[in-house]
Amino acid sequence: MIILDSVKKFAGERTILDIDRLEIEKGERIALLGANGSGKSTLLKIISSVIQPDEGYVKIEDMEGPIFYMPQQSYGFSFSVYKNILLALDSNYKKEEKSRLALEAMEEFGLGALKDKRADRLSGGETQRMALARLMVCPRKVLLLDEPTSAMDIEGEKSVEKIIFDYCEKNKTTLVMATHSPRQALYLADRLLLMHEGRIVEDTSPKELVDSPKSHWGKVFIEHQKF
Amino acid sequence: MRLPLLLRCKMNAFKEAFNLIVSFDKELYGIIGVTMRMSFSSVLISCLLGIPAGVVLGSKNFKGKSLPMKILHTLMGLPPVVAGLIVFLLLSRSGPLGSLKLLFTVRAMVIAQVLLITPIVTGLTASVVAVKTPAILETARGLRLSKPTKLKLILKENKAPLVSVVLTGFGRAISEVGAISLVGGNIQHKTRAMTTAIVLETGKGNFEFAIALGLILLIIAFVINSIASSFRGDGYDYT
Repeated sequence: MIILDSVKKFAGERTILDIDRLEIEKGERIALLGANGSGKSTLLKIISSVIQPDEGYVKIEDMEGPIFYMPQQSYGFSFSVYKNILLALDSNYKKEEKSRLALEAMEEFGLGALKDKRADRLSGGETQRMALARLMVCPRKVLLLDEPTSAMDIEGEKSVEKIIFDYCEKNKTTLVMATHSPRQALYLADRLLLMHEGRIVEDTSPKELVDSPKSHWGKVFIEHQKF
Repeated sequence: MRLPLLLRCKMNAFKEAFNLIVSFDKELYGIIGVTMRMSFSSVLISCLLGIPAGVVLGSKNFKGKSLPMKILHTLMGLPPVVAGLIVFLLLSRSGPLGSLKLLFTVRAMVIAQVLLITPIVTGLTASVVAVKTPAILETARGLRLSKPTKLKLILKENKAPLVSVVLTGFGRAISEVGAISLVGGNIQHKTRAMTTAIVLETGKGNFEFAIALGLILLIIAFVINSIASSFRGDGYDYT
């Protein structure tokens, strides 16, 4: 379980994140929804300990393995896509196994033809697919994804969503994902957190939100989804 | 058409300079040796000190960072004669390091150059590293990569600009006059470097020797830049 208690983050005088309490259960799939600047990315960075909260704490209890995180602007290192993916595999894997896993991940994410292409020369959508393949090259117990498909076309987005869904099902992975796509959130998540100005304004299930949104932002979300 | 007298003198000087180079003039090559020893040593030490410091300053945010950055930027513009004076006072017989008897040696010249070049290497490395490093570190932390791997990635991803930083340091070292003449003394066969020799020989009216040294300086700069270009990678591919 991941517990955030009285977590606050400031940018100068402004509070950019203010979470009273948030508990994330093992195996949950959570989608963070909200406008730009609502605090989704900051929340993910704090959970992954990329940045530290100014107040409060994050406690990780009974989680198998570390937390892996894909930032919004994933970096493609200036070597081949294949080597970028190998980079994510630690020394517990043997050389042949690393190679097999990397090739499988590339194939799954449609990167087979880009194996030898430098990752810093990929398009935005290709970079995101490479970053996901790199992160999901082997089983992970906790994944945090920050708008992982924002630069993809709709077909690419749907195929990647299915890969993420199947991966989480197979590995019993806890997923926390920021997204602007209500469709994606409803497809992937079993719990939705609606954020506004750094706060969680609604913590609900997809069904509850569709049937009876409580907050103003929940209603806006449903309107957007109908549209 | 008759060439003006001064221009004819200069043409002869070039011819003489060429002869000095191809005849492997002992004094000329001795001066080149001192210059190379001094420049390479000072750049190597400056890079060993300045690049790690620059990586830390460029990639980490900490309270009060602006003060060391301000000091660093001030030191980047340190006048060579001031650096020379500081080292001279430290190494002179009555100075705190006088017992080491380093004054008027190549080592003293290296110390003065390290004082000049290290802030430049540190400051430029910090600026270079600050551009890409936040994104590199965020991705690397997300993948739970080890600290040595993170450092390797920072250096690898900044390779091309870091080569330029080293070249800038080398350019400063090889072209320096003020500090090394103060602490080296421009002693023949001992501490005479190319730049100090050019100043001396020009003053004496020995243009051939001065031009030969000037030409060799340019050739060395060209060769070193060419070698360095091959390390830079595609970012600086001019072909």
